[in-house]
Amino acid sequence: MTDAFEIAGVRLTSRLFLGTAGYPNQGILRDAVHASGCELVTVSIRRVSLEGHGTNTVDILSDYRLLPNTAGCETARDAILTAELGREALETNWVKLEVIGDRETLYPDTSELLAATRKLVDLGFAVLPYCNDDPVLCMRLADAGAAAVMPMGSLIGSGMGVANPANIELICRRSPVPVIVDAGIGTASDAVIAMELGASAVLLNTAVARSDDPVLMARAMKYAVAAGRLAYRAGRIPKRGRAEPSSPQMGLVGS
Amino acid sequence: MNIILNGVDTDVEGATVAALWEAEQAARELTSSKGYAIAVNGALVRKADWPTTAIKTHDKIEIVRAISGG
Repeated sequence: MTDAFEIAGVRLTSRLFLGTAGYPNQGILRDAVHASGCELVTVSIRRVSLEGHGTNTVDILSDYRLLPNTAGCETARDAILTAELGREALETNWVKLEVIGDRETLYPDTSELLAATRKLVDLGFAVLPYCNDDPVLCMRLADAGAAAVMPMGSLIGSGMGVANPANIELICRRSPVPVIVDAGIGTASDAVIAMELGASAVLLNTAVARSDDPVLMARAMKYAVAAGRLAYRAGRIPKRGRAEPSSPQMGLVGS
Repeated sequence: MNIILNGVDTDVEGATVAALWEAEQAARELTSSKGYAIAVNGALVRKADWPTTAIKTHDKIEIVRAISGG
């Protein structure tokens, strides 16, 4: 049974998006992306190195949808130019919009993020903004025309998981556009939780790239995202503070 | 002609963005411009416009490529 979803009119069957940075080598990156079952991977846009270059990430991942990001940008102006460069380089109008307001926490600069979203939507981009787990900000970004919103699970690269599940659940329940939990995922159970809360997809990078066995962790994430999605659709039981026996209470031996 | 190429003072011979790209392409043994893009003085120059976009002394030119990212 298919359980596809759409972003900007594009149908996606895998609910896992994978970042491509920090893998031990390009061969492991390629194998991990394959093992994850994902259809979409993120890339960044950087000045060409004066010292030359290694294996081309774009070439080895040519079978996947490439989502250029604006990682490292601190102003709407720089993010907009980076998005335009990414669109030209990769011939895609999709952009993962990051506008960072603080280098220590890598928290988004929300006012610049909103301004950049509005401008890029005007320029014809499908904007996927990385944002705080703030229901109001997510609504504003959707109102501005974002194709999806990508609230943080927790700090980028922290592996702290979903720090505020109540907020993520609220955002997922109310969002008119797909919600992709981005950043902070540390291991498979974190991805399960994000999906159980109602996320349309999960975007992660470090949890796979920096694990002891990235290919194995990529497989784990594939199943985690699928399991979390199934559990969300199935509907979890309410939590209760007392025991309730599952076995029938009638006909007990010795009663 | 002296330009600022990716933040570095650089002498180039070509007069257009296309000529600059051809030199870059030869130096890097690239077969296509897929994955690459160029901005001049803070503005994207579309690939179709590379042949007709002149480079002037002191232009700030960025040649970028898509690399691994999260």
